[in-house]
Amino acid sequence: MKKKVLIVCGTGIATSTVVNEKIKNLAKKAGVKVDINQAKVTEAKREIENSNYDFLVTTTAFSYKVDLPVINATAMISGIGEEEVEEKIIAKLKE
Amino acid sequence: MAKTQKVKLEDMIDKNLIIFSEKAIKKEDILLKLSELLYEKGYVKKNFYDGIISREESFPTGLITVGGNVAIPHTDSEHVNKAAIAVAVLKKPVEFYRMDDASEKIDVNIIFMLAIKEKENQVGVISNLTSAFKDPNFLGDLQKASSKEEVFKHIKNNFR
Repeated sequence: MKKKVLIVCGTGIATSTVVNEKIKNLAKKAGVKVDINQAKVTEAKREIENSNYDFLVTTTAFSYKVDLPVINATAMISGIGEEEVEEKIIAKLKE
Repeated sequence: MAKTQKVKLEDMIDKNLIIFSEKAIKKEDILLKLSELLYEKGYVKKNFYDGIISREESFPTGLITVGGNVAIPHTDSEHVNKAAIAVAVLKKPVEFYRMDDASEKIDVNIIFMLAIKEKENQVGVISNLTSAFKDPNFLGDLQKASSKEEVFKHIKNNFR
């Protein structure tokens, strides 16, 4: 089964792209197929409403109320606590 | 269709895009100076600075990393002509709000201002840069630099 993941950051081009690559690699290792999209935080709500994502990964503080699991992945940029975040994402991919 | 060449970090750092300052400076002023450097060299459009400031207000870019505190201000690619990274090493820190918690301030001595044009071609560069934040020495050594030349050399050597 394919997992659909939305990655958001402030501009939708910088840190979300870094995280996108990392999640692609995690999914490959876990043997899970993924469909990843990137967006700006401000576009997240509309994007979620128009598509059926399994979960959302954000690199910035995410304060919107959404009806799907949200994982904060700033750690993938800063390196602090990165393994924990990776584990969380792998778990979600395998769900 | 021809594929655009992937950009290397080495190519995105230019000695003319580095600021080394021993004097105290305000955050807005250093962001303006970095934006002006990018603008003067034609890397970004005039409104890049406004984009940087408004982005920083709503989604700040201060990061606490393994190697130390750093900020990576950037904005929409519509404000960018050509990819580049402008760097500031400050002996006196400026305050940035945290990317993961916009209510928390951190002291930042090193700023990488990213002018990003096409994410597909520059992902490697940004990944390399953020990977370097996990190196316990990269940012610390950069902070010990005592001139613009040293900053440039250190970055070049690290990403060669």
